[in-house]
Amino acid sequence: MEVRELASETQKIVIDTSKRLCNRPIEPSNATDAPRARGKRPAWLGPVVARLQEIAQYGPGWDSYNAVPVGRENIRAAFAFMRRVLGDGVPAPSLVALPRGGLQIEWHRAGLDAEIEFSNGLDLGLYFRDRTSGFEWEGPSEAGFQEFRLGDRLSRPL
Amino acid sequence: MSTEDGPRVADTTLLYRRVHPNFVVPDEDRGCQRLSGGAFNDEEMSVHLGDVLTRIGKDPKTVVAHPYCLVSLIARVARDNGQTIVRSPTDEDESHGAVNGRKPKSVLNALKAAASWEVAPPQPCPDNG
Repeated sequence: MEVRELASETQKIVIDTSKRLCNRPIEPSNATDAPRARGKRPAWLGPVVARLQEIAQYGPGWDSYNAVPVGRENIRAAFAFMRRVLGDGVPAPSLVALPRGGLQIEWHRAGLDAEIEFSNGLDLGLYFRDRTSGFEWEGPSEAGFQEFRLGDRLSRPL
Repeated sequence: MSTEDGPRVADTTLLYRRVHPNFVVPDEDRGCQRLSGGAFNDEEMSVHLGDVLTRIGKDPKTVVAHPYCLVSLIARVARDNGQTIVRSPTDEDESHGAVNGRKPKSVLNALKAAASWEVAPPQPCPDNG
């Protein structure tokens, strides 16, 4: 029952948010949202929705040990982060359910490893590494994404 | 959280952990599949102790079935990263143990880099670092 509720909740969150994405008037001066063209669906949206629906089906012990289902608060927090921070062209991250109910989003592309963990409904921060230079950084996710222009860098063609 | 007890797990013992497909992620630059650090992101992480598997004559690969993968770690690497290894056999699994301790990103990265695929996903990356 819990799994069904979570799946339904995820679908609701995703649908509600995508409605907002599609219908929201464009406000270029809105500094809190990633740039988004009118009516355009972000590249990451479809794969993320599909993956979140899969993850929402994970029941107790889903990892074959004693994992707990991913908390809906973490699904909400991760989705809210992506909506706020990722631009239209950023490729979908891998979404990784964590054994204690958290959720991690990560990319391994364009010479970067970037990971953001959500737990207890909180964004625990960004880790990223530039595989060419070896530079590593850990800190607040949104600030890090902006400071290091990760959206642009992750969007580069391979 | 249990403390280390029972016969000490030797530093050279291999620790095996099943890997749900959720923890296998694409490395888009290299066109291969790599292990996510999420696979180890548990303060009480279940493993199968290689010394017990050897004693009971069980091939480590039998602890896993499709679609799961299997990785191994050397006990010393876990200890070097502040982890405690405990024996915690269950009725179903005599080889059950746990790698206990906080696992910040630096530890997860170290464990991930040290992990070897025993049952690998399709197109595994040559390394997980």
